[in-house]
Amino acid sequence: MRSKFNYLRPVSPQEAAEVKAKYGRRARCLAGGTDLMLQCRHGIFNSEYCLDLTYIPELNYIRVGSNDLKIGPLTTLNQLENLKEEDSLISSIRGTVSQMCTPQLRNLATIGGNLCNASPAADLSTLLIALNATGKILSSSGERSLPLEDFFTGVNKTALEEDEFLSGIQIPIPALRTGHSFSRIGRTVIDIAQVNAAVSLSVDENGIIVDPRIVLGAVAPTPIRSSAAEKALSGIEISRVDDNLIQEAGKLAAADARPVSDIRAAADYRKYVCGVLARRSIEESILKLNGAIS
Amino acid sequence: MIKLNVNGTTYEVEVEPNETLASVLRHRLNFRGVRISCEEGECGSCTVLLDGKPVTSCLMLAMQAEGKEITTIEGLGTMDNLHPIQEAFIEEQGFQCGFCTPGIILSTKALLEKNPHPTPTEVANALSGHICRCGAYPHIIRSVLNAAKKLENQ
Repeated sequence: MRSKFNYLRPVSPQEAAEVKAKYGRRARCLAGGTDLMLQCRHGIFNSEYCLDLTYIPELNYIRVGSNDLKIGPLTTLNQLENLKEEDSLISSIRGTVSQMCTPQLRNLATIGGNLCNASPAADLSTLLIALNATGKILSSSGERSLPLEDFFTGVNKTALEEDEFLSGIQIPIPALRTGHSFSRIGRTVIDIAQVNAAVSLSVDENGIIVDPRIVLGAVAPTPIRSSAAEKALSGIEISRVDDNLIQEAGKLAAADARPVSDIRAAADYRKYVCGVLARRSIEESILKLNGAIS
Repeated sequence: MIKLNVNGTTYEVEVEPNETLASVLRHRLNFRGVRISCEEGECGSCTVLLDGKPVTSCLMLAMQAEGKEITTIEGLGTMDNLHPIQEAFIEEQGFQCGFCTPGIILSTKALLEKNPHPTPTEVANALSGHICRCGAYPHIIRSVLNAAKKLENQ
Protein backbone atom coordinates (compact mmCIF):
# COMPACT_ATOMS: atom_id res chain seq x y z
CA MET A 1 0.00 0.00 0.00
CA ARG A 2 1.42 3.39 -1.00
CA SER A 3 1.78 5.88 1.82
CA LYS A 4 -0.78 8.66 1.79
CA PHE A 5 -0.06 12.29 2.54
CA ASN A 6 -1.16 15.83 1.87
CA TYR A 7 0.89 17.72 -0.68
CA LEU A 8 2.19 21.21 0.04
CA ARG A 9 4.08 23.39 -2.39
CA PRO A 10 5.81 26.41 -0.83
CA VAL A 11 7.31 28.85 -3.34
CA SER A 12 9.88 30.56 -1.12
CA PRO A 13 12.31 29.41 1.60
CA GLN A 14 10.39 31.62 4.08
CA GLU A 15 7.12 29.93 3.25
CA ALA A 16 8.75 26.50 3.65
CA ALA A 17 10.09 27.60 7.04
CA GLU A 18 6.62 28.72 8.10
CA VAL A 19 5.14 25.37 7.13
CA LYS A 20 7.89 23.58 9.07
CA ALA A 21 7.23 25.84 12.07
CA LYS A 22 3.54 24.94 11.92
CA TYR A 23 3.78 21.18 11.31
CA GLY A 24 7.26 20.16 12.56
CA ARG A 25 7.85 16.45 12.06
CA ARG A 26 4.39 16.01 10.59
CA ALA A 27 5.77 17.58 7.40
CA ARG A 28 8.66 16.02 5.52
CA CYS A 29 10.64 17.82 2.85
CA LEU A 30 10.68 16.39 -0.67
CA ALA A 31 13.66 17.36 -2.83
CA GLY A 32 14.51 15.03 -5.73
CA GLY A 33 12.31 12.36 -4.18
CA THR A 34 14.43 9.42 -5.28
CA ASP A 35 14.70 8.15 -1.70
CA LEU A 36 11.32 9.38 -0.41
CA MET A 37 9.38 7.88 -3.31
CA LEU A 38 10.79 4.47 -2.45
CA GLN A 39 9.58 4.90 1.13
CA CYS A 40 6.21 5.98 -0.22
CA ARG A 41 6.01 2.91 -2.45
CA HIS A 42 6.80 0.62 0.47
CA GLY A 43 4.25 2.37 2.67
CA ILE A 44 6.82 3.62 5.18
CA PHE A 45 6.58 7.35 4.45
CA ASN A 46 4.67 8.17 7.60
CA SER A 47 4.37 11.95 7.60
CA GLU A 48 1.04 13.67 7.17
CA TYR A 49 2.42 16.36 4.87
CA CYS A 50 4.82 16.18 1.98
CA LEU A 51 6.56 19.51 1.58
CA ASP A 52 7.69 19.77 -2.06
CA LEU A 53 10.70 22.09 -2.21
CA THR A 54 11.22 21.71 -5.97
CA TYR A 55 9.24 24.84 -6.80
CA ILE A 56 11.55 27.11 -4.79
CA PRO A 57 14.07 28.57 -7.25
CA GLU A 58 16.06 30.21 -4.42
CA LEU A 59 17.12 26.75 -3.23
CA ASN A 60 18.66 25.80 -6.57
CA TYR A 61 21.95 27.56 -7.33
CA ILE A 62 25.67 27.06 -7.74
CA ARG A 63 27.83 30.08 -6.93
CA VAL A 64 31.55 29.83 -7.46
CA GLY A 65 33.17 32.56 -5.40
CA SER A 66 36.81 33.37 -4.68
CA ASN A 67 36.67 31.99 -1.12
CA ASP A 68 33.97 29.40 -1.34
CA LEU A 69 31.58 27.41 -3.43
CA LYS A 70 27.91 27.76 -2.48
CA ILE A 71 25.42 25.14 -3.59
CA GLY A 72 21.66 25.21 -3.09
CA PRO A 73 20.22 22.01 -1.60
CA LEU A 74 17.84 21.53 -4.54
CA THR A 75 20.71 21.47 -7.05
CA THR A 76 20.54 18.19 -8.94
CA LEU A 77 23.42 15.76 -9.28
CA ASN A 78 23.22 16.38 -13.03
CA GLN A 79 23.81 20.12 -12.54
CA LEU A 80 26.90 19.31 -10.46
CA GLU A 81 28.07 16.79 -13.04
CA ASN A 82 27.92 19.54 -15.69
CA LEU A 83 30.04 22.05 -13.77
CA LYS A 84 32.66 23.26 -16.22
CA GLU A 85 35.33 24.74 -13.93
CA GLU A 86 38.66 22.92 -14.05
CA ASP A 87 39.43 23.48 -10.40
CA SER A 88 40.56 20.54 -8.22
CA LEU A 89 37.71 21.05 -5.73
CA ILE A 90 35.05 21.12 -8.40
CA SER A 91 36.53 18.22 -10.32
CA SER A 92 36.32 16.13 -7.13
CA ILE A 93 32.60 16.95 -6.85
CA ARG A 94 32.02 16.25 -10.55
CA GLY A 95 33.99 13.00 -10.32
CA THR A 96 32.00 11.82 -7.30
CA VAL A 97 28.60 12.71 -8.71
CA SER A 98 29.29 11.02 -12.04
CA GLN A 99 29.81 7.73 -10.16
CA MET A 100 26.40 7.95 -8.47
CA CYS A 101 23.25 6.06 -9.56
CA THR A 102 22.07 6.48 -13.17
CA PRO A 103 21.70 9.39 -15.63
CA GLN A 104 17.91 9.50 -15.13
CA LEU A 105 18.22 9.52 -11.34
CA ARG A 106 20.93 12.19 -11.47
CA ASN A 107 18.41 14.46 -13.22
CA LEU A 108 16.10 14.11 -10.19
CA ALA A 109 18.29 13.47 -7.14
CA THR A 110 19.63 16.51 -5.29
CA ILE A 111 22.66 17.26 -3.15
CA GLY A 112 20.42 18.30 -0.24
CA GLY A 113 18.37 15.13 -0.50
CA ASN A 114 21.48 12.96 -0.53
CA LEU A 115 22.69 14.67 2.67
CA CYS A 116 19.36 14.88 4.53
CA ASN A 117 18.40 11.26 3.86
CA ALA A 118 21.53 10.61 5.95
CA SER A 119 22.35 7.21 4.56
CA PRO A 120 25.68 6.08 6.02
CA ALA A 121 26.63 5.20 2.42
CA ALA A 122 25.74 8.54 0.82
CA ASP A 123 28.67 9.43 -1.44
CA LEU A 124 28.26 13.20 -1.12
CA SER A 125 28.18 13.06 2.69
CA THR A 126 31.60 11.41 2.73
CA LEU A 127 33.05 13.76 0.11
CA LEU A 128 31.64 16.96 1.58
CA ILE A 129 32.94 16.17 5.07
CA ALA A 130 36.39 15.72 3.53
CA LEU A 131 35.95 19.09 1.79
CA ASN A 132 35.14 20.67 5.18
CA ALA A 133 31.71 21.79 4.01
CA THR A 134 29.17 23.59 6.18
CA GLY A 135 25.40 23.28 6.05
CA LYS A 136 23.14 26.34 6.28
CA ILE A 137 20.02 25.49 8.21
CA LEU A 138 16.87 27.56 8.05
CA SER A 139 13.83 27.84 10.32
CA SER A 140 11.25 30.54 10.87
CA SER A 141 13.42 31.89 13.71
CA GLY A 142 16.51 32.34 11.53
CA GLU A 143 19.49 30.66 9.95
CA ARG A 144 22.34 28.75 11.56
CA SER A 145 25.46 27.02 10.27
CA LEU A 146 26.72 23.57 11.13
CA PRO A 147 29.80 21.77 9.83
CA LEU A 148 28.57 18.73 7.90
CA GLU A 149 30.88 16.69 10.09
CA ASP A 150 28.39 17.34 12.93
CA PHE A 151 25.27 17.12 10.75
CA PHE A 152 24.84 13.35 10.83
CA THR A 153 23.75 11.81 14.11
CA GLY A 154 22.83 8.25 13.10
CA VAL A 155 21.44 6.06 10.35
CA ASN A 156 18.94 8.31 8.51
CA LYS A 157 19.21 10.84 11.33
CA THR A 158 20.48 14.41 11.21
CA ALA A 159 20.95 17.30 13.61
CA LEU A 160 18.02 19.13 11.99
CA GLU A 161 15.39 20.18 14.53
CA GLU A 162 11.82 19.45 13.60
CA ASP A 163 11.16 23.01 12.41
CA GLU A 164 14.37 23.25 10.36
CA PHE A 165 15.52 22.33 6.88
CA LEU A 166 18.81 22.45 4.98
CA SER A 167 18.91 25.68 2.97
CA GLY A 168 22.47 25.76 1.62
CA ILE A 169 25.86 24.11 1.45
CA GLN A 170 29.07 26.07 1.64
CA ILE A 171 32.43 24.60 0.68
CA PRO A 172 35.56 26.63 1.46
CA ILE A 173 38.15 26.93 -1.30
CA PRO A 174 41.37 25.93 0.47
CA ALA A 175 43.96 28.67 0.86
CA LEU A 176 46.76 26.07 0.87
CA ARG A 177 47.77 23.77 -1.99
CA THR A 178 45.32 20.88 -1.70
CA GLY A 179 44.54 17.56 -3.36
CA HIS A 180 41.11 15.93 -3.08
CA SER A 181 40.04 12.44 -3.93
CA PHE A 182 36.99 10.21 -3.66
CA SER A 183 36.65 6.48 -4.24
CA ARG A 184 33.85 4.01 -3.83
CA ILE A 185 33.11 0.38 -4.35
CA GLY A 186 29.64 -1.01 -5.06
CA ARG A 187 28.09 -4.22 -6.29
CA THR A 188 26.80 -2.60 -9.49
CA VAL A 189 26.98 0.84 -11.07
CA ILE A 190 23.47 1.64 -9.85
CA ASP A 191 23.75 0.40 -6.29
CA ILE A 192 24.74 2.53 -3.32
CA ALA A 193 28.30 2.14 -2.06
CA GLN A 194 29.39 -0.86 -0.05
CA VAL A 195 32.19 1.39 1.19
CA ASN A 196 33.38 4.83 0.15
CA ALA A 197 36.25 7.09 1.16
CA ALA A 198 37.25 10.69 0.59
CA VAL A 199 40.51 12.44 1.35
CA SER A 200 41.60 16.05 1.37
CA LEU A 201 45.32 16.76 1.83
CA SER A 202 46.69 20.29 2.14
CA VAL A 203 50.33 21.33 2.44
CA ASP A 204 51.81 24.60 3.70
CA GLU A 205 54.57 26.59 1.96
CA ASN A 206 57.18 24.17 3.35
CA GLY A 207 55.38 21.13 1.96
CA ILE A 208 54.18 20.00 5.40
CA ILE A 209 50.76 18.27 5.52
CA VAL A 210 48.32 20.39 7.53
CA ASP A 211 44.94 19.18 8.86
CA PRO A 212 44.49 16.13 6.61
CA ARG A 213 40.91 14.90 6.34
CA ILE A 214 40.31 11.20 5.79
CA VAL A 215 36.62 10.30 5.73
CA LEU A 216 35.08 6.83 5.47
CA GLY A 217 31.49 6.03 4.50
CA ALA A 218 29.23 3.01 5.00
CA VAL A 219 31.45 1.66 7.79
CA ALA A 220 29.60 3.24 10.75
CA PRO A 221 26.13 4.70 11.42
CA THR A 222 27.38 8.00 9.97
CA PRO A 223 30.37 8.90 7.79
CA ILE A 224 33.42 9.05 10.09
CA ARG A 225 36.80 10.74 10.04
CA SER A 226 39.68 8.40 10.76
CA SER A 227 41.57 10.36 13.37
CA ALA A 228 44.28 7.69 13.57
CA ALA A 229 45.02 7.82 9.83
CA GLU A 230 44.88 11.63 9.86
CA LYS A 231 47.34 11.75 12.76
CA ALA A 232 49.75 9.49 10.89
CA LEU A 233 49.94 11.96 7.99
CA SER A 234 49.69 15.24 9.88
CA GLY A 235 52.90 17.28 10.08
CA ILE A 236 54.76 15.03 7.62
CA GLU A 237 56.58 16.56 4.68
CA ILE A 238 54.69 15.49 1.58
CA SER A 239 57.80 14.30 -0.27
CA ARG A 240 58.51 11.88 2.61
CA VAL A 241 55.14 10.15 2.37
CA ASP A 242 56.18 6.76 1.02
CA ASP A 243 54.36 3.50 0.33
CA ASN A 244 54.98 2.25 3.88
CA LEU A 245 53.35 5.29 5.45
CA ILE A 246 50.37 5.11 3.07
CA GLN A 247 49.95 1.39 3.85
CA GLU A 248 50.08 2.20 7.56
CA ALA A 249 47.48 4.99 7.17
CA GLY A 250 45.21 2.56 5.31
CA LYS A 251 45.50 0.04 8.15
CA LEU A 252 44.74 2.71 10.74
CA ALA A 253 41.68 3.79 8.75
CA ALA A 254 40.44 0.18 8.60
CA ALA A 255 40.93 -0.09 12.39
CA ASP A 256 38.73 3.00 12.90
CA ALA A 257 35.89 1.45 10.84
CA ARG A 258 32.94 -0.05 12.73
CA PRO A 259 30.97 -1.66 9.91
CA VAL A 260 27.94 -3.93 10.02
CA SER A 261 27.12 -6.90 7.80
CA ASP A 262 24.12 -6.46 5.52
CA ILE A 263 22.87 -7.58 2.12
CA ARG A 264 25.56 -5.55 0.37
CA ALA A 265 28.67 -6.71 2.20
CA ALA A 266 29.99 -8.52 5.26
CA ALA A 267 31.53 -6.44 8.03
CA ASP A 268 35.00 -8.00 7.58
CA TYR A 269 34.94 -7.26 3.89
CA ARG A 270 33.90 -3.66 4.50
CA LYS A 271 36.67 -3.20 7.06
CA TYR A 272 39.31 -4.56 4.70
CA VAL A 273 38.11 -2.65 1.64
CA CYS A 274 37.82 0.57 3.60
CA GLY A 275 41.57 0.38 4.31
CA VAL A 276 42.24 -0.17 0.61
CA LEU A 277 40.03 2.75 -0.45
CA ALA A 278 41.61 5.04 2.15
CA ARG A 279 45.05 4.11 0.81
CA ARG A 280 44.05 4.69 -2.82
CA SER A 281 42.42 8.01 -1.98
CA ILE A 282 45.54 9.17 -0.17
CA GLU A 283 47.69 8.15 -3.14
CA GLU A 284 45.40 9.96 -5.55
CA SER A 285 45.27 13.09 -3.39
CA ILE A 286 49.07 13.22 -3.36
CA LEU A 287 49.20 12.83 -7.15
CA LYS A 288 46.66 15.65 -7.52
CA LEU A 289 48.52 17.80 -5.02
CA ASN A 290 51.68 17.40 -7.05
CA GLY A 291 49.84 18.16 -10.27
CA ALA A 292 50.63 14.70 -11.66
CA ILE A 293 46.93 14.10 -12.39
CA SER A 294 43.91 16.36 -12.46
CA MET B 1 -6.87 18.80 -10.66
CA ILE B 2 -3.48 19.59 -12.15
CA LYS B 3 -2.30 20.57 -15.61
CA LEU B 4 0.30 18.44 -17.33
CA ASN B 5 1.96 19.34 -20.60
CA VAL B 6 2.59 16.08 -22.44
CA ASN B 7 4.02 16.04 -25.97
CA GLY B 8 2.94 19.65 -26.51
CA THR B 9 -0.65 19.22 -25.35
CA THR B 10 -1.98 20.39 -21.98
CA TYR B 11 -4.10 17.88 -20.08
CA GLU B 12 -6.18 18.63 -17.02
CA VAL B 13 -6.15 15.57 -14.83
CA GLU B 14 -7.32 14.60 -11.38
CA VAL B 15 -4.48 13.00 -9.39
CA GLU B 16 -3.88 11.71 -5.89
CA PRO B 17 -1.12 13.58 -4.01
CA ASN B 18 0.91 10.37 -3.71
CA GLU B 19 0.54 9.29 -7.32
CA THR B 20 3.65 8.92 -9.45
CA LEU B 21 4.08 10.64 -12.78
CA ALA B 22 4.49 7.19 -14.40
CA SER B 23 1.13 6.03 -13.08
CA VAL B 24 -0.70 9.18 -14.17
CA LEU B 25 0.81 9.09 -17.66
CA ARG B 26 0.07 5.43 -18.21
CA HIS B 27 -3.18 4.81 -16.34
CA ARG B 28 -4.96 8.16 -16.38
CA LEU B 29 -3.73 9.68 -19.65
CA ASN B 30 -3.25 6.38 -21.47
CA PHE B 31 0.32 6.92 -22.70
CA ARG B 32 1.02 3.21 -22.92
CA GLY B 33 4.59 3.78 -24.09
CA VAL B 34 5.37 4.65 -20.46
CA ARG B 35 6.22 1.23 -19.07
CA ILE B 36 5.95 0.51 -15.36
CA SER B 37 8.15 -2.30 -14.16
CA CYS B 38 10.42 -2.12 -11.09
CA GLU B 39 8.98 1.14 -9.68
CA GLU B 40 12.27 1.66 -7.88
CA GLY B 41 14.24 3.67 -10.43
CA GLU B 42 16.46 0.73 -11.30
CA CYS B 43 15.18 -0.52 -14.67
CA GLY B 44 14.59 2.69 -16.62
CA SER B 45 11.51 1.44 -18.49
CA CYS B 46 9.37 4.35 -17.22
CA THR B 47 11.84 6.94 -18.54
CA VAL B 48 10.31 10.11 -19.98
CA LEU B 49 11.89 13.45 -20.83
CA LEU B 50 11.21 16.27 -18.40
CA ASP B 51 12.22 19.59 -19.97
CA GLY B 52 14.36 17.52 -22.33
CA LYS B 53 16.15 15.49 -19.65
CA PRO B 54 15.52 11.79 -19.05
CA VAL B 55 14.00 10.96 -15.65
CA THR B 56 12.51 7.84 -14.08
CA SER B 57 8.86 8.87 -13.91
CA CYS B 58 8.18 6.18 -11.28
CA LEU B 59 10.27 8.05 -8.70
CA MET B 60 8.56 11.40 -8.89
CA LEU B 61 5.13 12.69 -8.03
CA ALA B 62 2.85 13.75 -10.88
CA MET B 63 2.53 17.00 -8.88
CA GLN B 64 6.23 17.66 -9.44
CA ALA B 65 5.78 17.66 -13.23
CA GLU B 66 3.33 20.55 -13.26
CA GLY B 67 4.67 23.38 -15.40
CA LYS B 68 7.28 21.15 -17.05
CA GLU B 69 7.39 19.83 -20.61
CA ILE B 70 6.93 16.07 -20.61
CA THR B 71 7.88 13.98 -23.65
CA THR B 72 6.86 10.35 -23.96
CA ILE B 73 7.61 8.01 -26.85
CA GLU B 74 4.22 8.96 -28.30
CA GLY B 75 5.65 12.44 -28.82
CA LEU B 76 8.44 11.28 -31.12
CA GLY B 77 7.09 9.63 -34.25
CA THR B 78 3.93 8.03 -35.56
CA MET B 79 3.47 4.61 -37.18
CA ASP B 80 3.47 6.29 -40.60
CA ASN B 81 6.20 8.76 -39.86
CA LEU B 82 8.83 7.32 -37.56
CA HIS B 83 11.46 9.42 -35.85
CA PRO B 84 14.99 8.79 -37.23
CA ILE B 85 16.00 7.23 -33.89
CA GLN B 86 13.08 4.79 -34.16
CA GLU B 87 14.10 3.94 -37.75
CA ALA B 88 17.65 3.32 -36.59
CA PHE B 89 16.47 0.93 -33.85
CA ILE B 90 14.45 -1.05 -36.41
CA GLU B 91 17.32 -1.17 -38.91
CA GLU B 92 19.85 -2.36 -36.33
CA GLN B 93 17.36 -4.58 -34.47
CA GLY B 94 18.04 -2.65 -31.28
CA PHE B 95 15.41 -4.64 -29.34
CA GLN B 96 13.71 -7.99 -29.09
CA CYS B 97 10.56 -7.83 -26.98
CA GLY B 98 10.48 -4.02 -27.04
CA PHE B 99 9.47 -3.48 -23.42
CA CYS B 100 12.47 -1.31 -22.51
CA THR B 101 12.67 0.37 -25.93
CA PRO B 102 10.54 3.52 -25.39
CA GLY B 103 12.70 4.57 -22.43
CA ILE B 104 15.92 3.79 -24.25
CA ILE B 105 14.87 5.78 -27.30
CA LEU B 106 14.03 8.79 -25.12
CA SER B 107 17.41 8.61 -23.35
CA THR B 108 19.00 8.34 -26.82
CA LYS B 109 17.19 11.49 -27.93
CA ALA B 110 18.50 13.42 -24.91
CA LEU B 111 22.02 12.07 -25.46
CA LEU B 112 22.18 12.95 -29.16
CA GLU B 113 20.88 16.46 -28.55
CA LYS B 114 23.71 17.05 -26.11
CA ASN B 115 26.36 14.98 -27.84
CA PRO B 116 25.59 14.39 -31.56
CA HIS B 117 28.65 12.16 -32.10
CA PRO B 118 29.00 9.87 -29.08
CA THR B 119 31.54 7.08 -28.77
CA PRO B 120 30.23 3.58 -27.96
CA THR B 121 31.41 4.10 -24.36
CA GLU B 122 29.54 7.39 -24.12
CA VAL B 123 26.43 5.63 -25.43
CA ALA B 124 26.81 2.87 -22.83
CA ASN B 125 27.21 5.45 -20.05
CA ALA B 126 24.19 7.43 -21.20
CA LEU B 127 22.09 4.26 -21.27
CA SER B 128 23.45 2.80 -18.02
CA GLY B 129 20.11 3.47 -16.33
CA HIS B 130 18.25 1.06 -18.61
CA ILE B 131 17.95 -2.69 -18.26
CA CYS B 132 17.20 -4.82 -21.33
CA ARG B 133 16.27 -8.28 -20.17
CA CYS B 134 16.54 -9.63 -23.74
CA GLY B 135 20.18 -8.56 -23.63
CA ALA B 136 20.10 -6.64 -26.89
CA TYR B 137 22.80 -4.25 -25.63
CA PRO B 138 25.30 -4.56 -28.56
CA HIS B 139 22.47 -3.91 -31.03
CA ILE B 140 21.18 -1.02 -28.94
CA ILE B 141 24.58 0.67 -29.05
CA ARG B 142 24.77 0.15 -32.82
CA SER B 143 21.25 1.59 -33.15
CA VAL B 144 22.26 4.74 -31.29
CA LEU B 145 25.38 5.18 -33.45
CA ASN B 146 23.22 4.68 -36.56
CA ALA B 147 20.69 7.20 -35.24
CA ALA B 148 23.50 9.74 -34.78
CA LYS B 149 24.39 9.35 -38.46
CA LYS B 150 20.77 9.66 -39.57
CA LEU B 151 20.25 12.84 -37.56
CA GLU B 152 23.49 14.29 -38.91
CA ASN B 153 22.39 13.68 -42.52
CA GLN B 154 18.98 15.20 -42.00
